[in-house]
Amino acid sequence: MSVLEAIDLSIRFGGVQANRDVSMAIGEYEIVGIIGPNGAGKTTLFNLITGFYPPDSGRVKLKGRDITDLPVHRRAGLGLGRTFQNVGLVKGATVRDNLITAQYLQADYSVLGGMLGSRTSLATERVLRSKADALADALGLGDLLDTQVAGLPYGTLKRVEIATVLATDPEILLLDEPSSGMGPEEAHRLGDTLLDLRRDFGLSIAMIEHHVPLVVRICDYVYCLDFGELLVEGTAEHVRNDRQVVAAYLGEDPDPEVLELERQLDSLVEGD
Amino acid sequence: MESILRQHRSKVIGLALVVALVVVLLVTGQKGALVIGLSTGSAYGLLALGLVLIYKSSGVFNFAQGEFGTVALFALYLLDFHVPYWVALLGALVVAGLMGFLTERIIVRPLFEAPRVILLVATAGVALLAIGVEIWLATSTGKPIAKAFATVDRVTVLGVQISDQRLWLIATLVVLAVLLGLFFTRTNLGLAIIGASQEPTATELVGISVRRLSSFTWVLAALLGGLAAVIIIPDGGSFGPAIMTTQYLIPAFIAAVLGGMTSLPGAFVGGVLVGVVQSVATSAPIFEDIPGTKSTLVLFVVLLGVLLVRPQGLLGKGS
Amino acid sequence: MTVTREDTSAVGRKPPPARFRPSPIGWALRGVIWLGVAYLVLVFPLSRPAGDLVSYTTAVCYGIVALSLNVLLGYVGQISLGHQAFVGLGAFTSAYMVTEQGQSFWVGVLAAAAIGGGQALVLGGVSLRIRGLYFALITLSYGLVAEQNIFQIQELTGGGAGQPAPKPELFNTEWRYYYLCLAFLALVLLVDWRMMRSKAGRSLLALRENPRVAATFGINVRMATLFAFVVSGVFAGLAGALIAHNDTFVSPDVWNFNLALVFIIMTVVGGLRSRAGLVIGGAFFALMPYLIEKIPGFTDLLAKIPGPQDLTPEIAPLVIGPLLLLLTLIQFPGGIGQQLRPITRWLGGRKFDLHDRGLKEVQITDVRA
Repeated sequence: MSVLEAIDLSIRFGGVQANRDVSMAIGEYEIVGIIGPNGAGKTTLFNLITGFYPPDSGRVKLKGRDITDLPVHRRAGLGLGRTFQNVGLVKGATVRDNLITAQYLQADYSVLGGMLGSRTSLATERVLRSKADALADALGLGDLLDTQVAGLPYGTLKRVEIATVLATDPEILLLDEPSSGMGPEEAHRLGDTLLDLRRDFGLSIAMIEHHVPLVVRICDYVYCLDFGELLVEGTAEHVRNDRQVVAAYLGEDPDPEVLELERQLDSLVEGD
Repeated sequence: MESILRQHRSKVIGLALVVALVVVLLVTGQKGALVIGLSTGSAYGLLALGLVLIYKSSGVFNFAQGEFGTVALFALYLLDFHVPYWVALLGALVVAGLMGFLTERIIVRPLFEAPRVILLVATAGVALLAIGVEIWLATSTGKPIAKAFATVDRVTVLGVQISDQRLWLIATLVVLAVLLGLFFTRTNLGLAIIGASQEPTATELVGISVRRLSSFTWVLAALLGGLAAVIIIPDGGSFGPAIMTTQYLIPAFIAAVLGGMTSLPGAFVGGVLVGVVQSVATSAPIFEDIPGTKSTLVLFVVLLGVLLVRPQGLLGKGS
Repeated sequence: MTVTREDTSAVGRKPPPARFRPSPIGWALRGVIWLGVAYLVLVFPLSRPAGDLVSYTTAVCYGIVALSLNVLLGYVGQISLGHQAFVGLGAFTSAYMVTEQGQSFWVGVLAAAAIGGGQALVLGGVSLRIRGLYFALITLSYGLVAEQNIFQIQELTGGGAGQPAPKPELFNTEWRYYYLCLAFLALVLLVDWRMMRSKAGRSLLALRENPRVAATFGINVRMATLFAFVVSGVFAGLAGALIAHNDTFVSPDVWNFNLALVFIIMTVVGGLRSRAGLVIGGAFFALMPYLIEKIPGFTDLLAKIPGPQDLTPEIAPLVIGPLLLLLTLIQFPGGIGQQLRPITRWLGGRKFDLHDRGLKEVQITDVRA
């Protein structure tokens, strides 16, 4: 049973057909990869799924429920979490504040109560704060809780972002290039982290990725987009060796020797 | 034919609006309003040109645009005692340009990266400082000022007298609007200014000094402000502290926004529109029951109406 | 960079540093300062003449206005160039309710707060559709409409002489009224403080900087924006009512665009998002003519500055105010609040840190239309 389904999503911006009839699905506890060259429409797909634009046509279903007409904040309430290419955090706030703000939907008291300092609001705030601290510790960010986000190094920002999106208590996680800016070793560790998170938090994950070894290692299923359309889908191995995919990345039918060299390089990095 | 219409859609809308307005006014018998509107509207339009110029280059609404003009008036007044009128006029423009230069250097540049709200507040500060100093220096609120052209009733259009000074104003506006329009679309300098406002890093990389461009733009805008003041105000015969800001800045702002804030011909159309609406609001019988200054309310409603329907202004490009 | 395996247990974190506790001398010093402030605010006014108390009360009310404007300008990043309309309509509403409708002062204040919130709600709705610079113009125009149309309605304004606004029975001396307004200021400060420490405040700060991310946290950005406008409007309406009964009458002339700019200046110079700074900023600008007169020798100093006429207490603020504003914006963007931060933090029981300037201001979404 798919927890998230995109059905024939299409959208046009001015003269550009950014997505055309793109369909994909995430199964329960699956990790799905979305690959494709730059400009293929991957982030646009995420934007459609999370509700930042309405599609020209097509539907989005979350756990069988049609959410195509729901605004962004309502989808967050249904367990859909997402990260952004240029790091979606409140940079003017501290790490802890971000983690607490992200628990907005779990702040179970009235706004008026909060303004007047009701007992419920104070108690709930304490709970949110300790949850934030625990989450930060779980991701090795405990020392940074009182640090302002702006000014943290890029790799740390990415970790903070993952902690923050986890604070929204998601069931489905959409990650936009989580390994960007990371070297091969860091990306490897990211893969471990994602597998652990899936297990510990019971998540289903879709990730836009460029880092092929990471995709091959942890993705159960992969979709490849190019020019706004779905090119190929299947297991990681299948997609990666597909001629169309390679052509899309390299722009032409590649030399088999080059392909072989690439494969050997990949296995070196993987330590096979 | 259709594709041509779509390409120049904003200009077509503007033209259609103007035609519709003229027809309405002629039909309802408000002929005088049309002429008065055109006349005062040109004043707003000229000031609006400066506003649009700054907005296109710095992305901020320049609250001090009116005071560039008032300062020029003070300079004109003082210089007129010592040198021939035309020299005094030039001197006044130089003073205005200097004020623009100093404003850019001292206020705008340090705040280059700041949120635009802060920059807007800063230009308001410049305006207020100028006004404070003017109040301090001017021992009375009404000082006489001479005009360049003496003839008051050169032409009479539809029952309204048009003075030489007004004709000069309208002519200047039209010429400037055309020149600036060409400047921004055809000359390298003009394109560089637009480029610098959108992509400052890229502009620097191609070897253009964004700082020098910024200075140039502000001086130019200040000159426009000064020019507007020295043509318009002497027609009334007297001036005082803050006169440009109190009487012309806000209608000019409305004119620029109605026109789309990015369009120079828009500033002109907006100015005329504001002038006409003001004049009709003041005299037309349907607005009789509005308490206080009728044109204020009517302008607000028009502004709100236009922006709600077309948030980018009448001739602005959609975002 | 060394490679270490991410430790997913909670063992990894260093124990948090022990909370700083001031020494006994530290407590004593802080206590003295607190007592000094309390004396200045609570005891000193008792010995002053009634006329001075009216000025002090105005200062307190301006503090509330600054807090109100800060909700829009500082927390949400929205500009309000017509804020005098919210305050003024609050003033007229309260005066009207008491004089024309025979209601008590308390009903007047409540009505003023409600009207303030209502106006702000409508403008907030407009802000959802019209953005940035264009919205700034709408607020400006609305302020003008208030000054030149709404406040010219005869029934509301009681003709040209203004609408009377008597003080409430229990607080009908200048001294008692001053303490009443102080109590209201304390209430506003408390509500503002609690709001910012709860989910409402956090959602405002998030949406100010990054509305898309705020939405993914589950925050309804539209509702949060409207909420901020209402809070701002309620505070402003309240301040207006208090000002009305302080002056004992309300006239249309003062609610002009110049006042709108004064409000903006005092809020920015006071320091956005700093409660202490805002109250001080509001008070300072309200008291400027008073201070210039009362500080011995200052008027003579000003008169010495060469010019065609003297820099009198009426004219001097017109020059000093904008100068302070420009200085704040260019050199000290956090205003008085930021400069005082080491002291306010120290007074709150923390270590004195001269370099603590609070969180860095981050480049936020432009007001570009």
